[in-house]
Amino acid sequence: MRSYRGSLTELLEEWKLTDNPFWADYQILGPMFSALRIFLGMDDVLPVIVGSKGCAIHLRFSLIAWGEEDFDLGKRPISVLEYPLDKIVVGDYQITTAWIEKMKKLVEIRKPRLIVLMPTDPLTLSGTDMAGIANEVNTSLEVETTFLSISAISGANQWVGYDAALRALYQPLMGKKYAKRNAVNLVGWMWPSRRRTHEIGACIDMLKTLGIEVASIISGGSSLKDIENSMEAKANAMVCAALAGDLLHELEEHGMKLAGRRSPYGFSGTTEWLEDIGQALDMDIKDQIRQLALLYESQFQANKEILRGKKVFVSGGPGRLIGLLHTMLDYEVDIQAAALFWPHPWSHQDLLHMFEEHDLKLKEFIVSPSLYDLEEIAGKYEIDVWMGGYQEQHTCKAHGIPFVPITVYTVPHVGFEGAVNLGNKLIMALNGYSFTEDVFNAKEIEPCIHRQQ
Amino acid sequence: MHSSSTMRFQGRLEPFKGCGILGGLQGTIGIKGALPIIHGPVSCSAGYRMVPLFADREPLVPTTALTDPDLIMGSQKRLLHSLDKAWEIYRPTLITVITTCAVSISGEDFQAIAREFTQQTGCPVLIIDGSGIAGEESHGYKSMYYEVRKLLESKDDAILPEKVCLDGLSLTDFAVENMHHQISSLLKENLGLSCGPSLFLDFDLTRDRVAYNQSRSLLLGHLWTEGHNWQPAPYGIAGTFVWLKWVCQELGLALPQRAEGLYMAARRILARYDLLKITKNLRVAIEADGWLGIGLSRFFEQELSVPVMLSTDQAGYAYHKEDPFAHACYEDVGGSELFLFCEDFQANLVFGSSNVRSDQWDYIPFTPPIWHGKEERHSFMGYEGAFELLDLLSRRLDHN
Repeated sequence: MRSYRGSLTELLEEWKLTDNPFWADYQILGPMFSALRIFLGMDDVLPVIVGSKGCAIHLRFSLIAWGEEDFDLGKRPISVLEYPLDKIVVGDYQITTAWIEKMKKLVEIRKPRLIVLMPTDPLTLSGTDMAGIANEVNTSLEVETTFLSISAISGANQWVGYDAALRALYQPLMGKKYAKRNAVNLVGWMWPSRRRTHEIGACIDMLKTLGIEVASIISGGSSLKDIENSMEAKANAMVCAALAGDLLHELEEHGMKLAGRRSPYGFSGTTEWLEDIGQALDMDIKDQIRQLALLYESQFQANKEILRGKKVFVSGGPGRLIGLLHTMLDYEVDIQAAALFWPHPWSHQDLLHMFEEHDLKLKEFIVSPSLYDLEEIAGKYEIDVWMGGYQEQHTCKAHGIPFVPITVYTVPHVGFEGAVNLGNKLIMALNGYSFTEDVFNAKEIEPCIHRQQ
Repeated sequence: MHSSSTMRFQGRLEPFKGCGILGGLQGTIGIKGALPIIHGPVSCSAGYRMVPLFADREPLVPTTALTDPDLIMGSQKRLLHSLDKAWEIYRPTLITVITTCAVSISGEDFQAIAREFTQQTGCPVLIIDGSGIAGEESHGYKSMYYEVRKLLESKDDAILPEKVCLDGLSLTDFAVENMHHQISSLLKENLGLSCGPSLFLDFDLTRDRVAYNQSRSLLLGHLWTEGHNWQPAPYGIAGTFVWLKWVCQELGLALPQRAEGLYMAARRILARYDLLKITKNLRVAIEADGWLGIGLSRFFEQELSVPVMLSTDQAGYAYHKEDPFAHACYEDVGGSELFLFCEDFQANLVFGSSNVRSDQWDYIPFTPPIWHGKEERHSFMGYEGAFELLDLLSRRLDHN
C-alpha cells in the first residue's frame, strides 16, 4: 500500500508515495467490493463469488454499511460458489447439481441477463480456469456468464475493481458503432435510487434545468440496456470521480468525451463541472449556470460569514476530497490538514488543479491515512470542525472535535445546493449538533433545494 | 456426544457464517490492549473492520495490505516490518496475526518471525489461520482461545471451587452484556457459583490471569462444542433446568435443592400464562449460532409447541441432525437466501441479523450483524429471560 504524509507542495512536485506495511485503514474497500457494488446496483446483473465464502460475508458487511439503510441493497443476493482447500489443491472445480438447482430458482426470481463470476484469491493465485467454470454455469443456467480476472490480492484499493467491472460491462460493446446524440452519462453512482434528495437526483435535476439530457447512469439502478444506451452519449461526466477506470479514456476514442472529471462540489467545482459538460456538448450554458448559482447565493454568503477562517480538517476519497476542497476553499476556511483515502491515477492532476487554479494551501497532507495518523492530526492542530469518513467519529469524540460525516448520502453535497447543505452542516456541528446516531447510523438534516420560477 | 460434520452445504448459495478471520477478531477485540493484524490483502481487513463496531469499538483492524508482487517476493519480511510498526505506535499487550486465503496458498511460515519479535519486545504474538478455504469462523475463535490459554497457563494457582469463568462469549456477540448477566445470575441464584473474568470479555492479560486460573471454565457460546457433552444455551423453563444440571455435571457438583425449588417456582409462573393464546398461529424463524439457535428453537418447539425454522452453523446443524426437533433446519444459510426461506416458511416472527429484518414479520435482533443501534438488546436466557420473551409475545399479540 502506497502512502504519504507531509507537505502538499512536496507531494505535488514528485508524487512520491512510499510503501506502508502496517495500514490501520478505516475507509478503503478493496477491489472485490468496488466491482461487486457496480454489479449489485444493477437490475439485471447477478454477481457470484467463487472460492472462499468469507469474502461474501465481509462484502455483505460492507455493502450493508454502505447502502442498506439508504438504498436497500442488503436484500440483493450475493451468491457463493464455494470451493474448499481440498478441492482447489486437486483442481476439482466440479459444480454440484444442488448448487445449479438453487441458482436456477434464483435466476427465475431475479431474471438476470448477465452473471458475473468474481474469483477470490485462492482461485486467482492457483490459476483456476475461470472460463471453464463460466462456461459450465452458462450452459447449465442458460444465462450469459462472464468472469473477472481480479480478486482481493490484485490491488490495495478500489481502483482495479472498478476498472475490471466497467470493462466487463463495456467490452462487448466496444467493437460496435452507435449513433451519437447530445447527451451525457453520469458515472460513479452506485445505488438504485434516483431520488431528488440523493446526489444523483440533484445532478439529474441540475442538468435538466440547464437543458442537458442524461443518457444513462453508470451504473447504480441501471440495466445492461442502459449501459448499451450510454454508448450513444457524447460525454461521460463523473458524479463521483473515484469510480474511474482507464476504460473511460478508451471510451473517448468511441466519441464519448470525458467531461466534468471532478465531482460537482462547491460553487467553483459545480461551475467547472457544468461548464465542462456544456463544452463537451457544444452548448453555451454559462448564463443559465449563473442563474442557477444565484438561487443559492445568499444562503451561501450567509454561511461564509460564519465559516470564514474556521480551522478545518477534511478527508475523502479521490472523488469527494477534491470536491470538498472546492467547497472549503469557496467558504474561505483555514484548512489545517487533509487526507486522501486512496490515490487513483487522476489524483495527482486533480490536486495540482486545486493548487494551481484555486490556491489550495494547507499544513499537512496525507495519502492513504491510518487511524493513528488521524489521532496525531487531532492532537497536533487546533481544529474547529472536522469533515471526514463516518468512522473518523471515534477520533473526533476522543478529542472533542465537532464532526461532519461526509460519507452519508441522504442530503446532497453536490451542486450549489450541496455547498449550502455542507455549510449548514458545518455550522450545526460548530453549534454542538451531533450527526452520529451510533457507530453505524447517521442523523441527517433537511436538504436545501430551490427551483427557478 | 455429537460429532461435527465436516461436509459443507453444497446446495447453499449464501452463507451465514464467515471465515476464520472473523473468529480471530471476535477473540482479539475482547482482550484489553490487544491488536489484530490481518496478514493479507486490504479487502480482508476492510470488510471485517465492522466487527469492532459490533462491540462499539474503533474499527482498528490494521493490515499488511498484500498485493500480488508481495506474495511472489515472500511476505515474511513485510509482516516483520508490520509488527515493528505496530509495536512502535500502539505498544499492544498482544498481537494477533490473522492470516488469509492468499497467504495460506503461499504456505509461508510465520511462527519464527513471531518468536523473534516476542523475544525482542516481550509482546506475545499469536498466528491464527483465518483462511476461509481452510476453516470456519468458529475455527478462528477456537484457535484464539487455545493460544491465549497457553499464554495464561500456570501450575501455581489453586482452584477455587465456587468460581467459574464463562468462556466462549465475545464482546462482538449481540446483547452479550445481558447474556453474561443472565447466566451469572442463574449460576449464583441456583448453584451458588460466582463468575470470574471471562476470556474475550475485556480480559486483562496481566490483571485477570490469577483469577482466571483459579476458576473453572464453563464452555459456552463459540466453544460449546469443545467439551464432551454439548449443551445448548439456557432458554425456556425446562431448557434452563437441563442446562443447570449440565453445569453440575461438568463441574462435578450435586444439584442443590434450591435449584429444584427455583425450577418448580418457574413452572408455576409459566402455568399462569395463556400459552395457547400467545403462541396461536405463531411460526418462528431463527438465524443463530448453534449454541443459541438450538437452545431457543427447543424452547419454541418443545416447550411452546411453535413450529421453528432454524438456520445455524455447522455444529448446530450436526447437533440437530442427531436429535431433530425443528420443523426445518438449514446449515449455514444466510443473506437474501435465508430471507426467501423465511418467506417460504411463512414465518411471522424472525430472530436474526439485520439481513432478515423486514416489515413482513415481527423481527427480533438476535445475531450479528445488527446495523441498527437503537434495537433492543434482549438475550432471553434463563427463567427470567423466558418470561421476558413470553411477555414480549403477549405484547405482540395485543399490538397485532
